[in-house]
Amino acid sequence: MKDFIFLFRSHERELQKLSPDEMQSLLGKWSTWIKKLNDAGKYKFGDRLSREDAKVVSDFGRVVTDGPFIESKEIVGGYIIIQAESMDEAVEISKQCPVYNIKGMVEVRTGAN
Amino acid sequence: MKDYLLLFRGGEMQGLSEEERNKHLAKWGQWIGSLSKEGKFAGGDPLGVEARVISGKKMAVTDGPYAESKEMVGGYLIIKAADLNSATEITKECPIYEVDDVTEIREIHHMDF
Amino acid sequence: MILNVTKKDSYENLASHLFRNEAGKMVSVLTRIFGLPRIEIAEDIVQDTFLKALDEWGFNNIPQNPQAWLYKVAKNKTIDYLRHWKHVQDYESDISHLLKSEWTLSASVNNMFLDNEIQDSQLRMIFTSCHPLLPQESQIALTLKTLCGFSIKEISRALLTTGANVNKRLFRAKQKLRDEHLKFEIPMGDELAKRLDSVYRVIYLIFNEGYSSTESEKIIRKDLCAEALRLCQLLSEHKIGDNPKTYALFSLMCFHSSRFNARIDDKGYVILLKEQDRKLWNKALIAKGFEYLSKSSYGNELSEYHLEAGIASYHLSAKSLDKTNWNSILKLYEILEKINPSPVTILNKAIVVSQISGPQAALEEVLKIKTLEKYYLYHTTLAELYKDLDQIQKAKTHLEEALKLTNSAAEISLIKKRIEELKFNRRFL
Repeated sequence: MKDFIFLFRSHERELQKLSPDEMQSLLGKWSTWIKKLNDAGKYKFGDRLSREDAKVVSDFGRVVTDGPFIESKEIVGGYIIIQAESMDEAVEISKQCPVYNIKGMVEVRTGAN
Repeated sequence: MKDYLLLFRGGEMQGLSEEERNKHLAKWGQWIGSLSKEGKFAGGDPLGVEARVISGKKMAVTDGPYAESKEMVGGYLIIKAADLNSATEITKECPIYEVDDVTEIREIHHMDF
Repeated sequence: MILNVTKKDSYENLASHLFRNEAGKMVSVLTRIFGLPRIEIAEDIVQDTFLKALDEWGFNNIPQNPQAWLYKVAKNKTIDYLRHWKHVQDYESDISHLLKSEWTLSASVNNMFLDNEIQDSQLRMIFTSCHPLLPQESQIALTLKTLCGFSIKEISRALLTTGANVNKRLFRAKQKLRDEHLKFEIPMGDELAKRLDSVYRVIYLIFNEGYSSTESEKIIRKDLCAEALRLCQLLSEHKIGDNPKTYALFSLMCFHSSRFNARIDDKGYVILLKEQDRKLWNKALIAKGFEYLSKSSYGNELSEYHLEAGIASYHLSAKSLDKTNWNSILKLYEILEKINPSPVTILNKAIVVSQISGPQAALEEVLKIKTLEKYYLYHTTLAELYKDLDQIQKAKTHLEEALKLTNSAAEISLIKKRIEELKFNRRFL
């Protein structure tokens, strides 16, 4: 078993478009999915990331900007670390991810050995 | 109509239970509400405890101004009244006396040249 | 390893449609704080509150009291906003003077989130959204947006129109409310009865949109019915709406809801009353309907909602179609026809006549109506009567006429199915 990191990227504006009911149902989809992974012994940990109070620090801290919210770009809305046998299996797992409901994407990464 | 500044000294709400505090704040709402209706309310806020005093041409800075919380200015209001006497009568209606306060009433002087 | 999924308060503990219902409450409360002309600020703060919930509740970290959490965040966002603009902005609201000073600011905002104030604000929002100055279709859209937390997309799906259209309606409605300087308030005195009628109408139209539409998806139709029931209940819990007409409307909607699952098949086809499986009728809702029907009977008001609820009650208490008390139903239709001689009422009455005195008598009734030639239900009703009288060719002509008069895919296929059945009928004559 190896660890894989899933980074969830989505557009801020896709989230903004959701109705309260759709947000609640999205919350439910995440909950169900994470539970399923956990019950299968594949989930290690993870969290959503706050969209407020984000800063981008660059050039040895000389440049600090509020960010990374640029209209056209995806932002990382959360991450989880899961366990899988192979990259293929990790990719298979990622296909069930609720982030697709808001036209988002999953970046599947593995740590270098 | 003239403008008067009310300077509240004392008027600590700390000793109140939550229920008493809510009741007290509700009275503020009623009082300011009725002043507004009569066009006599012009603004004002409570003030925080932390303070600095800057004095003299040398602008000496000290923490302060008074250790004794009874004498500390706890807030201010600006009201409109016909004269100092009616400003005094208005001030007597202020709920702040429930928490033992000393109020200084000063006419706002218009710097007309 | 800490697993953050093992926390007790998981998603399952969230009440269904909590967000939707709380959205309606919070938008109402915040509109009361910011004033009707700034309703958009209220909507933005509520949307931000839910987005923050999505972030902070993470994958499965629902707070012990989700409602209190939402209110706290909304209050804080509101107070932040008010502080930021304190010296610049005035608000057209009852409490605007209390928002100008820190002596009263946060206590006043807090106060608005007390249960009775939330209820009061929602009532103000219902009366405002259903204001007779607005076109009825805008009243419906605005009610769904402000009180039911529907998005533009959800409204357009529910009302079978485009998002651009809904946007336009909402924009114009809000503009109108601003231009007319309408107060965000509960009407009083002589005006009240008229304004309540407008609210009842909107609630009933929302319900009917959910109950009768055969085109939109089942899930959104159920939501519409549920929201109409919720709004009516909200009205009945406030002294302003606690009256027989509210109960009659509630009863009527309970009765109709009880047949929700029996009247449409899996493919979305309408199943006619005579073909419905009565075992599928929801007994709990029928009981609730009777409870409210009896509540609605005090006083001497007899509204169309009373009559329609009464008619439904006879249908629902009949063991079978044959055992239906048609004579009592006919009496109610006759009174209803006097109060509201709508095409649907007259056609429905004819169907009852046909049950009592046979298709020939009913046919004569229907043929007396001269204004309904462009109405597809007129032709399907005639077709049904001609079929019962074995005048198959005439039945076919009217079904074909009906085909030309509806655009609904579900209705078209139902009518085509009935034309097919006619052929079958003829062969064995």
